[in-house]
Amino acid sequence: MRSRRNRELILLALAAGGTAGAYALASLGRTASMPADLLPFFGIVLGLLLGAHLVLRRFAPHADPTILPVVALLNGLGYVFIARLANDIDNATALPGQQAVWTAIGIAAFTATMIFVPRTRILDDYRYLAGVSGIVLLLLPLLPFLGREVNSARIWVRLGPVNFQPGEFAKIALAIFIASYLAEKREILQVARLRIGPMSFPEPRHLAPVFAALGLALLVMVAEKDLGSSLLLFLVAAVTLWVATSRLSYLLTGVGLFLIGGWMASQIFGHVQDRLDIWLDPWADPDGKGFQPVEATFALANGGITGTGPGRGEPYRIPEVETDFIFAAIGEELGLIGSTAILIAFVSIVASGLRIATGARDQFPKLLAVSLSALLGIQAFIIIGGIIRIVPLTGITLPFVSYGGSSLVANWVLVALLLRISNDAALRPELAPTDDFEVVP
Amino acid sequence: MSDAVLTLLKFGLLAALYLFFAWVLWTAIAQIRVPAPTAAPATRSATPQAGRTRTAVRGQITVLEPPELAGSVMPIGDELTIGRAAACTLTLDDTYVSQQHASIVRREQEHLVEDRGSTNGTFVNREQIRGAVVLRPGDRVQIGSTVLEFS
Repeated sequence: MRSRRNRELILLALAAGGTAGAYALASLGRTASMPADLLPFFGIVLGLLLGAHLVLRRFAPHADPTILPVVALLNGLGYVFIARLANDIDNATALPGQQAVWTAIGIAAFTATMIFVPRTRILDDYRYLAGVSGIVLLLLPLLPFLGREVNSARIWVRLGPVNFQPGEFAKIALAIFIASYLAEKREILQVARLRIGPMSFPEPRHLAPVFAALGLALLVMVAEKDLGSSLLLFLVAAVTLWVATSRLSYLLTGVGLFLIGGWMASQIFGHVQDRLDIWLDPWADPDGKGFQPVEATFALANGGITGTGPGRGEPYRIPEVETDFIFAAIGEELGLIGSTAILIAFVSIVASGLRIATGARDQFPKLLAVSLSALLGIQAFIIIGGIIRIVPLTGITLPFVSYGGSSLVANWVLVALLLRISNDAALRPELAPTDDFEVVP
Repeated sequence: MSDAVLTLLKFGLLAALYLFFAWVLWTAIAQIRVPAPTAAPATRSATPQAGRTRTAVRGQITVLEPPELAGSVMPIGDELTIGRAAACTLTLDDTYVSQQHASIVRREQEHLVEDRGSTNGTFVNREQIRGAVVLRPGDRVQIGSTVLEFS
């Protein structure tokens, strides 16, 4: 099993090399000169990754070897693009430094998670604490003395000099709660008792805690105008329920309920209707509401198949390009081929997550691996889909790539939990042959 | 620096990205190929009872272990309680069994086994259960050193 870590080390070295190569190329493309700090940059990247790698060697030696390198590459490419964009955006010179610090904090949080969660089972015991803290974290920004409203979404909390989005951590806490609760109740939920037409449902009381937590979370997110997060959480819960019960009707019901809820929200809230209008026809108001998606579309078109090359495009024209729209910048400068590589990265992480789920022996780690992979995969889908306009645009970050401290740190914690489950699954005791029951005639 | 060189470098970077993912894929495949250190988990379909899952549920348990009780059959009725206490429907004289250990209840067409907060746990097909679990014919319930087969 030690070879897993050796394989990981090779991949990490490649990821660090790719990041440094992209960093150099972005500088060459923009200013036709090598970056002066290329060697220190490469050293810091390598050092951070080596740190995370050693943490795994010490605390989770049997964990999956592909997840950390892929995450490292996403984080590294994201940094390269943030650093490259910071030169062309006003008042952005501090962003790369902050992102570097947040990456270091993210790896520290990854380490802390590995140390404080030595067994996945521990999380199962704190089910209701996880559920309640998820809701509390979501409520924090609504407090008048803590919360701040940015771009009309009230999802920020200011603590001294630090601003962060507690919702990013709430998602993980709620994923733990949902996975743990459904793991216990799945047998009962599989038994449908209420029949309505061709569909059948479990007794509502068994699902009540999930619905209560989810409903409260969605209400809070709607109150904060955080549409992307409510969409994300709803889909993750529906997927987890589907996997727990293997009843497709639950997933379809969940999606149906969501569409009804979305339609109602569009009737009640003007900003939801705006989002739908922009999605269907951004060209109706290309200088106003449709400006951002139109610019993103121009950027992707400008990039074409192979891109303009790092540092040689004009993605800085897109508002919020360093956070929500960073995928458009990658699409412009690395083209269809480069942005497909980003998609491959997320597919690879989700595939690893599902592989971890099939390897896990108990229900809770299985479902937790599913819900955490879904959290990451659906989040990437929602924002990338919004940028390429296959779904309405909702502002959430592209995990590991976008600028944003809370998102980065929370996703490093998420990955630590996935790797913890993976390590547990590999460590499970050897099963005795199944036919060793002594059957006496 | 000329455009041609930059374009070449760009292709180099894209190629490197795909090489990286090819390597990731290869590593992932190697993980699956490595013979799992554990035997395939005892899924229900893998047990010899698989063929019997469609047979009608009789709602009874047969003792498989310990040998001195083996072969005893007990109907479940509406509820069967299992434990060390004399008040239980099935009293097991076993120090690993709690006073109120577990119960099997019938609910409409199904039988559910539930652990009653026992010290050593209740196992269905070698997996410790939490909460109530639906029993299928051929499932084996282990309580202390007693193994019961549901049919």
